[in-house]
Formats: sequence, structure tokens, C-alpha cells
Amino acid sequence: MISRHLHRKKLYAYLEDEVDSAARRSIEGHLERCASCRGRLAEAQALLSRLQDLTGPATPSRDLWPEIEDQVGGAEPSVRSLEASHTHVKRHAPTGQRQIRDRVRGRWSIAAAATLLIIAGGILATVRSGSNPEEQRSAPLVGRTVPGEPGGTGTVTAADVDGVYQPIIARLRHLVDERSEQLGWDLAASAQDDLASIGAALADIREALRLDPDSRELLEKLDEGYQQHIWLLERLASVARL
Amino acid sequence: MTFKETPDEELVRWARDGDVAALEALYRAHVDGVYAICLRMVGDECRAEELTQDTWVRVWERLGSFRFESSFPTWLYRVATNVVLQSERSQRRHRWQPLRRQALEYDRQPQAETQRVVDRVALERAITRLPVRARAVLVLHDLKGYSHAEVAATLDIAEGTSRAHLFFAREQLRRSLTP
Repeated sequence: MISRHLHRKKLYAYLEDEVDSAARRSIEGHLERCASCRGRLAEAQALLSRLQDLTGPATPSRDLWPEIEDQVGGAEPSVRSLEASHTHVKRHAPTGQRQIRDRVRGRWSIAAAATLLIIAGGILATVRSGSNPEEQRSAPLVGRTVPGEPGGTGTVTAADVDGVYQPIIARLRHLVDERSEQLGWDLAASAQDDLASIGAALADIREALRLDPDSRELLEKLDEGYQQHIWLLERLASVARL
Repeated sequence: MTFKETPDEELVRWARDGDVAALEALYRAHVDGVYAICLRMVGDECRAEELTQDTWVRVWERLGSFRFESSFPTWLYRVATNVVLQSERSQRRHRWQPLRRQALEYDRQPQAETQRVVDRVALERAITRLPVRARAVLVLHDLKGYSHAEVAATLDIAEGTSRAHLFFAREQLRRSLTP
């Protein structure tokens, strides 16, 4: 008489050859005498066999690379066109600075696209009339001079841009957080994603500015990024207030 | 030497330096593996394609953190798995849609084959209903052939936890597929 059946864990281990020879002999001895465990073994074997059917190759229905390339901000030629010229030739590696700028471009396109998607998604339909972002944006800081600024030239720096925009963003963020329940789950989740994309883009711009603090292009991007951030928060605050 | 013959590690170094063409070469070599993980995890081709794209964007952003301590595919599949796990956490719901290609197969196949496709769809559907961690372990171990040590390293869990998740996942599948 058989007092105990084999645990299914042991049966899987047996099927996958994860038991030592003594345990194998013991399991096989039990299986010879126990029809119930043979049935359980057959079930386990059938499941593993069905799972095996899913191990074959899977291929996307289309080439995903063009969209990925858009997102990583690549203006580089494709592999196919490069393959011939790459024969026995190692490419010249761009500088770290260029890499960061590429990332900035990539992130920026994501953030800009995300913001545009939100707009297209209907926020504009629900906000009050007269909320044209162009009307509400303050004039860009970059390019202005700040008379009397320590440092001599009076030209706006990244720290100046941070100092002006960050308190505004903190206040707006607090306002939106307070009203977040009125936004609805879908909009709130989508807005969080978009704000995260803008935040990531801003972080990359700051990283690039650390390497190239005098880059006017990067300062303008930082300024523009903050304005996008503020504009999005203002829209969210307006929606939540309605 | 063409890109196709270039070792992954060399392509990774070029991509880390900003070479998008090297990233494309890595993509061409490994996209099917990434897509297979995403597809088995979410059970929906469209979403699997989105997650595959997200994975490669994440790879581009995080290549700097690849330390060459594991093979590139191991690191890549870890990124893919994390992208899916994060997506599942943010969605907190499963959106099941029948696999389009398999639905087409269903129409074209003779009866025995039809049953096989039906079984396969049922299995894929059952997999997508597993808790996300158990699903990840099952996909990596049973479908990608990872050892428990590799699964544990990929998901940042203990080997014992990987074994427990796998047993739980298989038992769930067995019960849900038993008539």
C-alpha cells in the first residue's frame, strides 16, 4: 500500500532531470506502483510539452526600427546602408557631449510628442476659452540680459533659468496634486507620464549644460522645457478646477 | 567585418558612444528575442510591439549601465522584462485580445491543427492571467530556457523565490487548462 503520493514539485524536478540518481530510483519505484502519481506525472509532462510549443521564434508583424530611431533621436544612416562602408572600418565614435545632445534630442522629441498628444487628447476642449499657451507663456528668459547680475556679463545662466521657473512649477504642482482626484484616472496617469518625459528631458538638458554651460541652444531648450512644463501644469490645474 | 559579424560587445561600445547604426545592428540581431518575451508576457501582438519599442529606447538610455559582466542578451532581456513589469504595474489590468495572427491561422487550418491552435491560444491566454511576477518567471524559465539562477539575477529575486513562483505558475496553468 502506498502511504504518500509524490509532490508535484518532485515530479517537475524528475521531468527536468533535477534530481540525483537515488531520488530518481525512488521516484521511479513509486511511479511503478502508483497509478495516481503516474497520472499526475502525465499531466505535468503534458503542460511542459504545451509550454514547449510556445518556445518557437516570434517576430513582430512590422519593422519597429524606424519608430525606435525617431525616439532615440538618431540621424545616423541605417545599418543596411552602412554595412558596405563598415567593412573592416571602425566608425569614428562621437564625443560624449554629442551623445548627450543626441539623447536630449531624443528625449525632447518624446516630451514634445507627449505634450502634443495630451493637447490632441482633448484637454483643450475642456479648458476655458482664451487659454492659448502662446498668450500665457512668459517671454523666454534666455537672450535677456540681467543688469547687475554678479559675474560681469549679465547673461542669463542655467541657474537663473532654474531659479525663475522652479518655484512656479512647485506651486503649480502642489495645486495639481491637490486637485488630482478631479482629473480622472486616465488623464492623471497620462499626465504623469508626460510630466515624467518632460522632467527627463530637462534632466538631460541640465546634464548637457554641465558639459557645455555657454551653449545658447541648450539654454533655450531648458527655457522652452520649463515653459512646456508650466503650460502643461496650468492646463491640468484648469481642468481640475472645472 | 560587417555589422552582422561584429560581436555584440563591440556594437554595445559603439552604441554607447552615440552610434545609432550600432544600436540598429543590435536591434536586428535581438529584436525577435525581445518581442517573444513581451508577447508571452502580455499576450497581445500590438502591445508586445509597443513594449519592444519601449525596450529598445530604454536600452539606448541605459547602455551606460551595461557593465559587460553578463552577456548582452541577458542584460537586454532583463531590460525587456522590467519594461513589461513596469507597464503591467502602471496598467494594473490585463487587456486581453486574441492574437491576430493565430486567429488567422485558425481560419486556415484543418481540424486537428485547429485544435492545436485553440490549445495554444488557451495556454497563452492562461499565461497572461498569471500574477505578473509568476508570469515573468515562467516566461524566462520555461519559454526562454533560463536557469533559476539566471531568472533570479534577471528579476532581482532569490533562486528559491524563482522556484516558488515557477511552481505556482505551472500549477495555476494546469488547473486553468484542466477541463
